[in-house]
Amino acid sequence: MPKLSGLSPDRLAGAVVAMVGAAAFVAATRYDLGSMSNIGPGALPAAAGAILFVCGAAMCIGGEPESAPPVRIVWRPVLAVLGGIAAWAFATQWFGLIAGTFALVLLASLAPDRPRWRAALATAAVLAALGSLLFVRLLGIPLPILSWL
Amino acid sequence: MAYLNNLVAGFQTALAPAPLLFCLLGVTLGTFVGVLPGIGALAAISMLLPITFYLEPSTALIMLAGIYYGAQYGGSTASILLNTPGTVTQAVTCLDGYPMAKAGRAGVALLTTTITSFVGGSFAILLLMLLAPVLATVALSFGSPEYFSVMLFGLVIASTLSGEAPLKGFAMVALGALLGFVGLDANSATMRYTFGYFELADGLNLVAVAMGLFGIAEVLVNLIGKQETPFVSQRITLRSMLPTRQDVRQSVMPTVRGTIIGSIAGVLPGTGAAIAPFVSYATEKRLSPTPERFGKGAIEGIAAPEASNNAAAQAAFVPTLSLGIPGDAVMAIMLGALMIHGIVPGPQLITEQPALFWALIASFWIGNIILLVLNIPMIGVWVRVLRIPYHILYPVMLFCICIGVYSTANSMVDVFVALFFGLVGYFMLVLRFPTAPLLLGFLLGPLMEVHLRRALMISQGDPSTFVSSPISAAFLALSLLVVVLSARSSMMAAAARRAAFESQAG
Repeated sequence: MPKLSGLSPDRLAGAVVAMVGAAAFVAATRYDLGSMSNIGPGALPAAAGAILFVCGAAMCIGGEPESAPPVRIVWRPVLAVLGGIAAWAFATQWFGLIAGTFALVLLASLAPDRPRWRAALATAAVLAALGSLLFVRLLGIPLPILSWL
Repeated sequence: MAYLNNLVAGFQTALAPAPLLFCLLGVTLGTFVGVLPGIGALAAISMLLPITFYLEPSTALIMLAGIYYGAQYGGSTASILLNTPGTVTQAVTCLDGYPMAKAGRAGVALLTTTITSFVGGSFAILLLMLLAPVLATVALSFGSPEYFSVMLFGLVIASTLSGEAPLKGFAMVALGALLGFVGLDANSATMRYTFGYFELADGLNLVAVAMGLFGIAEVLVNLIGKQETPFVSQRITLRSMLPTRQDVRQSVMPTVRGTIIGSIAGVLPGTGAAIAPFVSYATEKRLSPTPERFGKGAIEGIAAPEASNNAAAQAAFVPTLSLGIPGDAVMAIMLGALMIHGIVPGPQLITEQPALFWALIASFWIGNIILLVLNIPMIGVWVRVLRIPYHILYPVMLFCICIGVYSTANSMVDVFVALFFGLVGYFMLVLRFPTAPLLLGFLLGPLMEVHLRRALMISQGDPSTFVSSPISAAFLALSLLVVVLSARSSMMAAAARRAAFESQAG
C-alpha cells in the first residue's frame, strides 16, 4: 500500500479547529475576564476557545493518517447551491420574490452534471406562484412579489 | 384527582378543531418528510417554524412535535423500500428492512415497523406522563449550581455518544458555545465576536444556524453522494402485510427491549433518538441465538430499532419539558419555538402552564393513533411519494429554507448566516464531525454561562457551591466518569488500530 504524504483529513481538520480555538481565545482575553464572584464576558468564551484549541491540537497530533478515509470535495454542487441562495437573497430584495425564485432554482439546477432545464423551469414557475400566494399574500411575510429596485 | 382533571382538560384542548387539525397536519407532514430521503425532522421543523408564529403556542407545539414523531414513523418506509434512511435514526432499519423487501416481504416489514413504532411511542408517552411532573417538582428546587451541572452532563453525553470520535464531539460543543456567545452580553454590555457588525448584536439566529447545518448541508451531501438504488417496487396490499406467527413471536421481545433502551436514551439529556436504534440493534444481535440471520432480513433487526427510536423521540420530551434542557437537536429547536412564543422552558412550565403540557400529551396519543392509520391502510400513498425525483425536490427544499430563515426575523442577513453555516455543515459532514453537539452547545452554552455566573455570585466566588449540593455533585461526578470512560475506550481503540497497522506493515 503506498503511503500518502502530507496531512490526513483528520489532521488538517484538527489544525483548523485548533486555529479557530486559538483565535477565539485571544479575542476573548480582550474582553473583561472578571473575577470568581463576578464572571466577566470573556471568561467562558476563553474557556470554550481553550477547549477547542486542545481538542484540535489532540486531533492533529493523535490522528492516524492511515485510518482516515479519503476526502473528496466536489465544488460544482456547493457553488451552485450556495450561489443560488445568495442569488435568491439579492434578486428577491431588488426584483421581488418571483425573480428570486427563478434565480435560486435555475442556479441550483446547475448542481448535477447534466442539468434538467425543463423540470427546473417548471419547478421555478410553480414555486414562484405558490410561494407568492402562500407566504406573501396569506402569511403576510414582508417580501416584494415584483419590484424594480 | 387533579392529575386526572388535567389529563381530561388536556384532551379537551387537543380535540378542539384547530389543535386537532394541526396535529393531523403535523404528523402527515412528519411522515412525508420522514419518507423523503434527505429531509430530516429537524430541517422540516425549522422550515415550518415561521408558520407556527401565527398559531396559539399550544397548537404550534402540537404541530411541531407531530412533525418530529411522525418523521420517525415515515423514515422506515424509505429504509425498507429504497435502502436509504429517510432520517438518520433509521439507518439501522436498512440493514434488515431492505433484504426483507428484496425477499418479497416489504409488506410485513412495513407493518412491523409501524406497530413497533406505536408500541415504543406509547410506552414513552406513559413514561412522560408519569415522570415529567415528578421531575419538574424536584427541579423546582434546583438552583443555578444544579442547572449548570445537569447541562454540563447533557453536553458531555451529547459529545461522547453522538459520534464515533469524542474529541470531535467536544470540539463541536465548544464551537457551538462560542457561536452562542456571539452578540451583546447582557451582563456587561460587551459586544462579543460581532466583528463590528451591528446586525450580530442580537446573536446568531438559531433557525438560521440550524437550517444551514442541517438543511443546506444535507442537500449538498445528498447531491454529491447520490447513487441510484434499485427501488423495490411491489404492490403493498393489506394481505401482504400480514405477518406469520413466527414473525410475531420473533418480534415481541425485541420490541420490548427496544422500547426500554429507547426510553432510557430519550430521558437522558443530550442523546435523543440518535443512538438508541444503534444500541438496540447491537443488543438484539448479541442476544440472538442466530446472529448470522442479521443483515439478511431478520425481523428482530427492524422491530427493535424502530421501537427504540420512537420511544426515544417521545421520551426526549421528558428533560425538555420538565427541566428546560433539550434532549437533542430537534428539542433545541422546539425550545427555541417555545421561547419565541414567550414561554420560558423550565420546571415551572408544567406547574404554571398545565394546559399546554397536558394538551401536548393528549396530542401525542391522538397523533400516534393517526399515524397508525396513515401508515397501515394508507401506506400506498407514501410508497408513491418515494418516487418524487430528487432534482425536483431539492430546489423546493432550498426555497423553503430561504423563505423560512428570512421570515423568522424578516432579515436577509439571516439568509447569509444560513448560507455560511451550510458551507460549515457540509465540511463538517464530509470530515465526519457530528453536527448535533454544535447545536446543543449553541443553545446550552449561553444558558450555562448565566447559571455559572449566578451560582458564583451567590456563593461569593466559592466554587465549592457546585459540590456542596448533592444533585449538582452527582451530575458533575457522572460527567467526569463519562469523560474518563470515553477517553479510555478511544485510546484503547487507537492503540488497537496502531497495533493492527504495525503488524500489517511488518
